Amino acid sequence: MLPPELIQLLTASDLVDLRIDAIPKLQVGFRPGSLFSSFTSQDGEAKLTFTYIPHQILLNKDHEFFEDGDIHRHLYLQNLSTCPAYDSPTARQCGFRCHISGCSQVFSTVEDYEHHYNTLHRHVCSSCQRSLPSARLLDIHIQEWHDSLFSILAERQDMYQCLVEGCGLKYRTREQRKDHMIKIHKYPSDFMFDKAKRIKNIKIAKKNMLQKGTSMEVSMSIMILPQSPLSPSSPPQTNRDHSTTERDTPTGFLGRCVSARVLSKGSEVVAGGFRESLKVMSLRQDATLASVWSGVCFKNNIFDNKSCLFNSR
Amino acid sequence: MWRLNAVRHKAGRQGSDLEEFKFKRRAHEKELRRARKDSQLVSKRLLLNDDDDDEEEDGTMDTLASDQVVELFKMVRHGRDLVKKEADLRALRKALRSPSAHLILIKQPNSIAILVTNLCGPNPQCRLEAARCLHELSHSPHSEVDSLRLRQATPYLITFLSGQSPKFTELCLYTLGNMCPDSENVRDMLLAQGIIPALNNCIQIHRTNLAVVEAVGFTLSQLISANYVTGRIIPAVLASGLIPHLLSVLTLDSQFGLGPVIECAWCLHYLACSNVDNGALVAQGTLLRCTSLLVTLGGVVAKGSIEEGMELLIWPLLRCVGNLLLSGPLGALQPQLNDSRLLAALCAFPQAFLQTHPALARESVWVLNNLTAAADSSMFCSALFYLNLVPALIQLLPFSHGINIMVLRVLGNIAHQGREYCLHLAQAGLLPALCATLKMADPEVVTFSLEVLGQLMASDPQLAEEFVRQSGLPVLEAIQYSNQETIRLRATHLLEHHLPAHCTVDTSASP
Repeated sequence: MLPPELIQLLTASDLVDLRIDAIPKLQVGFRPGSLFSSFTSQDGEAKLTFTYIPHQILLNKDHEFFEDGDIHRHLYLQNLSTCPAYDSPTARQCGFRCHISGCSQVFSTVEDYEHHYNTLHRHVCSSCQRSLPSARLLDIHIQEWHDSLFSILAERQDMYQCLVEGCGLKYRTREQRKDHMIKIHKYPSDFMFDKAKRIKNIKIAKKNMLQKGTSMEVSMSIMILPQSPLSPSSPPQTNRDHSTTERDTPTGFLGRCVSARVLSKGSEVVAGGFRESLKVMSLRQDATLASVWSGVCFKNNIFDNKSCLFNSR
Repeated sequence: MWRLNAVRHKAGRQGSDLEEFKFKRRAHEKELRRARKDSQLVSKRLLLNDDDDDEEEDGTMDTLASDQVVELFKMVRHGRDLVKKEADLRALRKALRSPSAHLILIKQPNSIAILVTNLCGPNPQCRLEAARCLHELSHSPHSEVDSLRLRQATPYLITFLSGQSPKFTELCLYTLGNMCPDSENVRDMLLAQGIIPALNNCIQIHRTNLAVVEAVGFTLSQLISANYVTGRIIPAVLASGLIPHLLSVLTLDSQFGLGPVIECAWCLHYLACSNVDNGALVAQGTLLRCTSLLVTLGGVVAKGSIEEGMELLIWPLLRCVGNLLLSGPLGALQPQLNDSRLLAALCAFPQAFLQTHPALARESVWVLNNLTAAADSSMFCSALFYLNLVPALIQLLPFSHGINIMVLRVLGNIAHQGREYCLHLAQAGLLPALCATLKMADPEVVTFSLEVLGQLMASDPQLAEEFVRQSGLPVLEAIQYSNQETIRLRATHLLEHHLPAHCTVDTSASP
C-alpha cells in the first residue's frame, strides 16, 4: 500500500544522513506577477481573482476539525472502542459535477462525467444554444438555420445535405432529404423530420415564418433504441421563458430532448434540466438506424435568447 | 490498568450479541457527537477490580435491595471489628456497582464522612475498600452524586497521591480524574488543594509503575481539557515541572502497552492547543519528543505492524506538533524538526489510515500544511521533493472528508515557493491530477485546484503547454461556465492570459 521508497525511508536502519538541513534547498522564486489579476465585484470593489496565500493554521481543541478524533478518544475512555468490527466513517472518493450553469448533474466516476459533457455540452450552437451531437451536425445546423445566405442559395441549388456521414448527397428541399434518408439510409418513417408543433405561445407563432410540416428537428438526444421502452417519467421541465412543448408521438423515437442553457457572459441563466434517461441512451452500432438522430428545435429565425424544451417519445 | 484488547466492556455486559453491541455503540457515538457540539463532551473511567471478573462468571452479582444497602452502611459505620468492617466495606463496594445504590447511600447521614474516615483509617484493606466505594460514586450516572458531595474526600485523595501504594494511588487518581470535569468550582478547589504539585510528585514516585503513570495522565488530561478552563490551571501545569516527566513517557514500550503514552500525549495536545505558552513547551523539548515518537510510529506503520489503538496515540501527537509549529518562526524550531523522516511519516499516516480513520489522514496533512506554509518553509518543501514524497500526496487527491482540500493547500504552499518548485511539482505528476480535481463536485476543491494551477501556469509557460498536452484545455473551458463566480473568474483568467500562444479557442464549437 505504501510506496516502497517510503517504507524504505521509514524503516532503514543503516545510518543515512536524514537531516533536513543537509538536504539541498531548491531556489525560491517570487510570486508570479502575471497571476495578479483583479476584477470589480458586484458592490463596485476591486478584488483579487487569485486569493490563496499560504498560511499556517492553528486549531483550538473544540474545532470541528478535531471532532472525529475526540469522539474516538472518548469511546476509548468509555471502553466502547474495542470492537471487532469498528464501523467508522471511511474515506469517500469525491464525486464529479458538471459545472455548466443549469446542469449540476453529479457523477461518481470521471468517465461518466466526461461522457455527459461530451454528449451534451459540446457542439452547442451559439445562436440558439441547441446542442448538437457532433461538430458536423453543428455546422449543418448553423448553416441551415442561422445563415441567411443559405436560404438564398437554397432557392437555386441543392443545399440540404444528407445527415448521414459520408453520404455527401444534397437535396433541394428538406422533404427530399428526408425521403432520401428514409429510403436509402433506412431511417424510420416516423423519424422526426417533421415535427407537428403545437405552439402555445401565439406571439412566437405569428413571428414564425417556417411551415410546421416541413421543419426538421434537431434535438440533443443521441440515440434511440426503438425496442427499448423509455417513457418520460415526468413532464418536461419548463422554464419561465418556455414557449413550446410538444409531445411527439412516434414510438420509434425513444429519447429525451433536453435543453441546455449555457451561461454566456452577461446573459441570463435559465434553468434547464437533464434527465436521468440520458444514461440509458446508447449508441447503436447499426448505422442504418442512424446513430445520430436530429431534429431542430422549432425556432424561427428570430434570435430571442429563449430556450425551447421539447420532449419526444 | 486498561487493557486495550479487553473483550469485556461495560456495554458488552448487557448484550451478548455483536449486532446489539454495534447498534449501541453507534447510538452512543451519536450522543457523543451531540455532546461535543454542546461543549459537554466528558468521560469518566471506572476501574475494574480483579474480583469483579470472577463474580461475573459466577453470576453472584445481584443488585441489593435498598434496605440491604442501608444495613451494610450501618454496619460499616458502627462496626468496631476491623476484619468484619473490611468485609462489610467490600460488600458495600460491590453493592455500589449498581447505580441505584448510590442514591440510597448518599441519603444516609454522613455517608461520605464515614467513607473518608475509613479512607484514612489504620487498616490498609479498609482504606482500599473505602477508596473503591468513593471511586464508584465518582463514576455515578446520577447528577445528585456530584463532585460537590464528594468534596470532603478530595484533600485526602490528593494527599494520598504522594503515597507509596500503587494500587491505592491509582484509585485515588481515577476518582479525582472523574471529578474534574464536573464543574469549574471543583477544579478551582482541586487547584487550591494542590493537585498539580501532587500529580508532579506522584509521577516521579511511581514512574516505573505505568498503570499509575497512565492514571496521572488521565487525571491531568481531565483537569486541563475541561471546558472553561480557568486561566490558572494551564500556567500552573506549565510551571510545575510536569512537562519533562510527561515527555519521558513518550516511548513505545511494548511490554506495558500504549495506555500511559496515550494519556500523556493527550495532555500535551490540550496544553498545546490552549496556546497559553507554547514557547515554554517547545523550550522543554516537546516538539522534539513528539516528532521523534511520530517518526517511530511512522516506522511501525511502514512495517505494517499497526497495533490496535495506535491511532489514539498518533492523533494527539499530530495535533500537538501541528499547533506547536505556530509557536515561533520555523527557522527557530528547525533544530527540533531536523529529522526528515518526519515528513515521510506524515505522508505515510494518511495512506495507512485512509480507510479506517480518514480524519486522522486529514490531520496528518494539516501538519504538513503548517510545515510548508510558513515564511521559511523552503527547506521542508525542498525535502518533500528530495525524498520523493509528493506523489504520495497527489494520490490522496481523490478523497473527500477535507483530505483533498488540505492536500491542495500543501501543494499550493509548495507552488508558492517559486518556479523551481512548480517545475518539480509538474514532474511529480501534478498536472494530470489537477485535470481530475477540476472536474470534481466540490466547488472548494475546484477553486483550490485553479489556484494551484494558476501558480504553475504563471511560473513557467512550459507548464501551461504541458497542461494543454494533458487535455486540460476542455476542462478549463467547461468550468468557465460554472455557476460559481469564484470558479468562473479564475478559469477565465487562466484561459485568457496563460494559454500558450498557439492555442486558439474555437468559438464555433465551444459553448
